[in-house]
Amino acid sequence: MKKLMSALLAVVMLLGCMFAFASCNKEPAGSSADSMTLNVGAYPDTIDPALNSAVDGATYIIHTFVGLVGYDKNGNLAPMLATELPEAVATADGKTSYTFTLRDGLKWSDGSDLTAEDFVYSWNRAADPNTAADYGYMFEVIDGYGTDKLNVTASEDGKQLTVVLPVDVPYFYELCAFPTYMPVKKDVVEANGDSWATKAETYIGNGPYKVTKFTQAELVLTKNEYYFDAANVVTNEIVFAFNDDDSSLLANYKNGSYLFIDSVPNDEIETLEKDYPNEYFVEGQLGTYYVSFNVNDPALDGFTEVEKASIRTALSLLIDRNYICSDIGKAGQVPAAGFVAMGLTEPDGKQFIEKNGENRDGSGYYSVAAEDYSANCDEALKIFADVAASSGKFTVTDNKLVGFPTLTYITNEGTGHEAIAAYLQALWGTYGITVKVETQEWATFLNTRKNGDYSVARNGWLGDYNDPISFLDMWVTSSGNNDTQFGKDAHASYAGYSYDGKDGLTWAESYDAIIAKVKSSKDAEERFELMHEAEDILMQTGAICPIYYYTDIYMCSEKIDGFFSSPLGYKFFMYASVK
Amino acid sequence: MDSKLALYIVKRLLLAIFTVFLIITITFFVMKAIPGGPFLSEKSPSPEVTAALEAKYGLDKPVFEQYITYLKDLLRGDFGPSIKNRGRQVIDLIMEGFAVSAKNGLIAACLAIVIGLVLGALAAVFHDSWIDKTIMVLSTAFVAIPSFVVATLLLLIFCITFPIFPANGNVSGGLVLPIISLSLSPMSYITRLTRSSMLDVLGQDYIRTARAKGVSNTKVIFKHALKNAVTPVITYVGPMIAYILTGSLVVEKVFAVPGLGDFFFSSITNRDYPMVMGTTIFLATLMVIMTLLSDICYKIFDPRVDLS
Repeated sequence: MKKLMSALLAVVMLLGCMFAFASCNKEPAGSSADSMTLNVGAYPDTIDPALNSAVDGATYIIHTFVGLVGYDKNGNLAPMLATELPEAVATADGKTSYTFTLRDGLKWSDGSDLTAEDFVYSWNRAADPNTAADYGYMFEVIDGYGTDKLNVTASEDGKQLTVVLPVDVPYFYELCAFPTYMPVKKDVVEANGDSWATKAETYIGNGPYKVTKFTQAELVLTKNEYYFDAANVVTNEIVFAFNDDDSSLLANYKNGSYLFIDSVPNDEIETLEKDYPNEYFVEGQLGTYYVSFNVNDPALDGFTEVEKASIRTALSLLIDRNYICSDIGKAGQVPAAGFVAMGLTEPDGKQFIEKNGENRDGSGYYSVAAEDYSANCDEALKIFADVAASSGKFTVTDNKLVGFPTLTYITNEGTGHEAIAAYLQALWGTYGITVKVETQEWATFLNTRKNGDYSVARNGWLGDYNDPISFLDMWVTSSGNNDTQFGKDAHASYAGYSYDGKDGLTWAESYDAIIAKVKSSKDAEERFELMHEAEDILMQTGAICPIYYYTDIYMCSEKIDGFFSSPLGYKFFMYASVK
Repeated sequence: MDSKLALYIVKRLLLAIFTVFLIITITFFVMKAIPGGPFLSEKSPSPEVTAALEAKYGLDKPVFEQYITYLKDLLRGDFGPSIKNRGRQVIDLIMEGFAVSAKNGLIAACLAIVIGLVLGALAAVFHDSWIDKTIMVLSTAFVAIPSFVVATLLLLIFCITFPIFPANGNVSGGLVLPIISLSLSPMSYITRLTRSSMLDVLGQDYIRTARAKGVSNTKVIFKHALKNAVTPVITYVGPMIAYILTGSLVVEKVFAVPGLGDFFFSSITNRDYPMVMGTTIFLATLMVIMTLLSDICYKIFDPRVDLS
């Protein structure tokens, strides 16, 4: 037995050695006065400023690159590489030009000079379809977009950059602060292809930090001594740990490994709100969660286009958005009464949603006040009764629809999405409407929705910049995001819309025309009025059924001072310090 | 090595190549048949961008042509670039992840085998005693409890309630819990296999003879009994090692371990075709090699086995 015990002891010692091996060669995490470990997402798809289209990727990029314009310590738009925000100048041929003057002594993180020519190269690269950048269309406001070369020129001394726009857009400075507009270093990009942005050695930036380590576990940034504003960058090192498991994130936050996490488990929200009042944040985000209806849904064949729109509007009125926000979303979401999200500003400084609705008084396209919910339901039933009478295809008896076609609701996997699907199924079910819920795997779901092979689908949209057009131009006939199939197939010939005093217009003649006009309009007030008109038409179809405006939840340790986030969801730590 | 064994290995290797080829072919065509594509997202890129991307990755060509091109590239050892992670080569991503997963997996596999064998032997030697019963209850429990429950429980107990270990696999001491989570289930399975096999062996005549000849108990157990009881365990251990080395999606997610596990799942969700192929080929190759090795181990542990 003694020998048996010694054998067991040997095994225990062996295991001890294994664990020691498993634990070795690792650096401690957490924070020191000069370093902070944070999390804003998983291992990113790309951190190439031109190719990135993700929010977490944008956060990494704004720490390693900077554009002509950016955000100052207070989160306000301010000149960065440019000495000032230039005035728009009308050109002889009726276009608009901006001439940016670059600061003196600008350098890349490898110490080489950065000139206006770098912008010419980078912007043309990002706009080139062969670069295949998701956000290449961000350059469509610049003259020459769609041709071989953008109308962007550098002065001979490399100090000035002149950009010509066919039509001035009020959000041009904001575009200049967008990651896609940041300069990249031509020689490293050309020598390494897409892989330049995958290794610390070749990832040459010009921002407050430079990359010193980039693995599948983390992105380590250290202060860039060549950054023009390096004196204001306090913390020497930022470690962005890659992780997207909510439970793991919270565990790491609670034990101090991460000082910031960008996501929390849904079922922990109430506890966290209570237990961490100074560390749990809910911020507004430029985005809307909505349900989209397929305007060419075969399930509603036999109804006229007007009846279809009425049915969709009635289904939308039945939804208790307050219930969804408070009992399913539980994260401070705001019930939505229009499609364009909150947080977008008008020329007079008011919010776009403060003027939405047909009366332009911010009352939206239906009331989302809790006390009006039963009135909404009554109105919905009245609409159904009218449609039943005009179509003769179903009846309404005792507040129940009899003989109404079965609808299919598609959603992707995800507790929140599935809970909303179950709620809608039960809700519409109480009115006699049978809804089949189909939960599909992510890519299959996207494909089904894009191809219009559905009746009703869950949907969501995050704006790209602070202008409502980012929510409205996606619904033109040719848009790749026109999941509702507006202006396609049968809907293409339906002439029931109005614009510019004319009635009986098709989707292309009304909506597409308004959006084209918005894009060519030089008058800011006219632009915004047109965008409200576009939203009116959109909501009149009933095919877009907004549920709530998105919020961005994150936890930020009290140890961090000087951090801020933007409505696009980007997180700014370059001015932050650790206590 | 005798010629019979060498011939056997050559035959098996050829069969393995054929198996992997079949897997490549089936995976390739099934993968292309699933709806959706790598460039779909909540915000779809413009048709021009999609066309440029499809041309860049050769997805604009007929599927059969893509298949032939893929096979040719593969013969040159080129697994292609990842579509999702722009600028990264599939083989680099796999190797980086595998380096982490394999290290954890190897330790977990050793733990599972060593402890599993010892506990199984103990349970058999002390058959029907409280030791046997305790081991059996625990091993049954750990075989039955899925790894995501074990991992989450360990995270809750040892990282939050009693913060002894970090919750992050990327820092000092952070791999202890993922390794335990990975090893518990195979360890329990090996325990149960060893116990039943040992019980069978311990009842054999030659063990009784050895004991009658005065051979010490430890020697009887470890030299005579365990060696023979280990054969069924080998059958299980081969594929188990292949799985455990390539990482676990759940365990790696829960403990933020930057391993290979996630790629098996995310590559399919993202329709990252070269990555789907890469991970499948990698796992399939590892699996056939491990199965071959375990068959060879059979022969070593039990010379009566006829490999032909």
